[in-house]
Parts: sequence; structure tokens; C-alpha cells
Amino acid sequence: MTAGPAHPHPAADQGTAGLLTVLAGMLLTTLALMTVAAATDVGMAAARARTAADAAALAAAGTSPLAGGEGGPRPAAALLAEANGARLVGCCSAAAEGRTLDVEVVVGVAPRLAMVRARTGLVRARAAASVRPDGEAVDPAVLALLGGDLLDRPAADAGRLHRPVHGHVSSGYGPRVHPVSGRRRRHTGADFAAPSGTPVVAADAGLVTSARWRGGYGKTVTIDHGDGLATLYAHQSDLVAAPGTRVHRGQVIGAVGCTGVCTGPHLHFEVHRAGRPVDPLPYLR
Amino acid sequence: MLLPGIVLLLTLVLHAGLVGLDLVVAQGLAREAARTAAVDSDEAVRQALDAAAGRRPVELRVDPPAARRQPGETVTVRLRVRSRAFAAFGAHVWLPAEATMRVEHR
Repeated sequence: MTAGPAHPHPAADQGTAGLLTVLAGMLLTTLALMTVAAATDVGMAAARARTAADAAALAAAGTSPLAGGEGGPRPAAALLAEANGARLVGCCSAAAEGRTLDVEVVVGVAPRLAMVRARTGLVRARAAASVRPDGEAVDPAVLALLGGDLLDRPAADAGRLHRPVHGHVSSGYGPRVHPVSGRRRRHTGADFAAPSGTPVVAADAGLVTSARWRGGYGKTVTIDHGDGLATLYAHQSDLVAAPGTRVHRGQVIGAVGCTGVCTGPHLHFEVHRAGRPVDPLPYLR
Repeated sequence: MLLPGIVLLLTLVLHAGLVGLDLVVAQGLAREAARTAAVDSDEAVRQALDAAAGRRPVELRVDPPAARRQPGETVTVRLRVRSRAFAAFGAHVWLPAEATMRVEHR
């Protein structure tokens, strides 16, 4: 009686192991190349979107009534966005400061890879261009003439948001002398005076994108409501909402305080449309 | 046998990444060149491009040329940038990019 070998086919085992190693290597390489391709696709879409947004914003500003251009800003912006492989998503939000008119556009570029496109949708970019004509301050009528998606939104969304706190408006949106610095600058939100500890509630349902200390804003919560609309709640004494969680309309997210740069307890409330602060009051009920 | 294979695959992935990076760089250069073309001469475009591209070889075409550019019309810059990817192996990969801007008053 003779004992058999422990491994009847050692050469075959080695061959199988080698094959598996090669297959694993090929799989890992394929995954790595797919990751690189996806990252490149998104990066390229973002770069093309930036180019298109710049071109569209410059065209919109250059054809605005203030610049005396022909054809109007929206068609010009759409043409330039398309020429750069993008789609005009928003045009032409405008803001005037003295003699300068800022015209803003938003464009989107679809990534080329279907897999990436399905995950990211349009990669967007926003850009603004200024017109500074000689002469008088920008006439509000010029802003009205510009028209456009972003300008129309406040009317469409009027009353969409819940009042974030019980209290009177102590300072509105727009140019003002800063109570601490003494400098004249634009106030990017509305202040609601209320006793410290008064509950602050979400103006609408959405995703809490951050809840943290933010420099002069103090303890701050930001909420993304989708459709390009976001809100910000600053100077709070306490933060209840956690980043990454969803909140419903009217849900308590914190408490009024005086953290950051402030002179007394109040809520600084901002509404952002397409990433840019707008006057919050028309949005409130 | 295994180590050279791993090195080869890693090199492939690295150079694919370089291609991706250079594509984004090329797009940025095209934007810069188109912005210059919208307000200045073809020579200024070339200078701006050379300043932005550094030592990367770039082929440039501006359409229409400066003499025929009219305010309010569009100008398109098409360029090709030679990527750093695979250069070590003697291969030259040229990456295209283009950007269009509205011609402004000079």
C-alpha cells in the first residue's frame, strides 16, 4: 500500500492561481480606468459649463438694454451656451449696484457617458458679467426689461416659505450700513428680532446641508429645498438639525441667539436662488 | 512576472488620469484664448495662450481671424494641446478643445 501525494496536480493549482491573479488584475485595472473615465467626464463637463457660463453671461450683459445691444440678452446667452455645448438653464437674473448692472446666467452640460449622466444629471455652472455704462445709476426699469427665469422665480415662489421664527423684521435685504463694521455693504438676508432661545423652524422641507459654526454667521444651518432654492439660518444659540438629515416644513432646527458677529439676539435668514442670495421677504407667507 | 504586470497596469491607469487632467487643462486654455479673441488680436491670443500653457505645445486656430471679427458676432477658438501622457514612451497624444465667445468692442 502506497500513500498518494497531498496534491495530485500541483502544476494545475499553480496555473489556476496565476489565472485568477491575472483576472483580478484585469478587473481592478478596468475598475480604475472606469473611475478615471468618469472623473474625466465630470471634470470636462464642469470645464465646458464654466466656459459656456462665462460666454453666456458676457453675451447677456453685452446685449442688455443698458449696453444698447441688439436682440436681447436671453437669445444671445442661449446662442453662446449652445455654441459651447451647453444648455441655458437660467437667464437673466440681474442686480444693480449704483452704476453697475450684474447679469447672471446658469448653464448645464450633460456628461458624455450615460452611466455618469444618469448619476449626475446636468453639470451646472453659474457666471455673472457686469455692465458699467457712463451716466446715471441703473434704472429699475432696465432690470424689469431684462426679465428671465431667475427674475421671475420670486413671483412664482411668492409665499412658498414658512416664516422661520416669530419676530419682527429688524433689518431687510439690500444695501445698509453694517451695525458692527460701520461699512456700507449689501445685507444678504433679513433679520428677525426675537428673544434668545426662541425656536427656529425650517422654512420648507429639505435636506440639511450643513449645521456648524460659520465665522461671522456664528452657529448656522443651511437647507437645500431642491429646484435651486436653499435657505440659511445664522447667529443661532443652539443647533438641533444634523447635517445630512431631511427636515420637514416647520420642524425646529435650532434656537435664536447672538453667535458670530452680532449686536443682539436675532435670526439672520437668507434665501438663495441658484446659489445667489435674494430678498427673502417675497418668499415668505 | 507579476511585478512587471502590476507596474504596467499602474502606468496605464496613471497615464489615463493624465489624459483626463490635460483634457480639462485644454478646455481652460480654450476658454482663455476665446476670451482674449473676443476683445483683442490673434497675436494677443497667441501670447495669452503661450503665457497660460507654459511649455506645453499648443496648436491654435481662431475663426474668424481678427480682420473679419465684428462686434456682436461669435469667435471660436479651436486648439490642440499635447498631453504629458505617454510622452515618456515616445507617443504624442494631442487633445482637442474649443470655446466660443461673443466679440466685444475693442
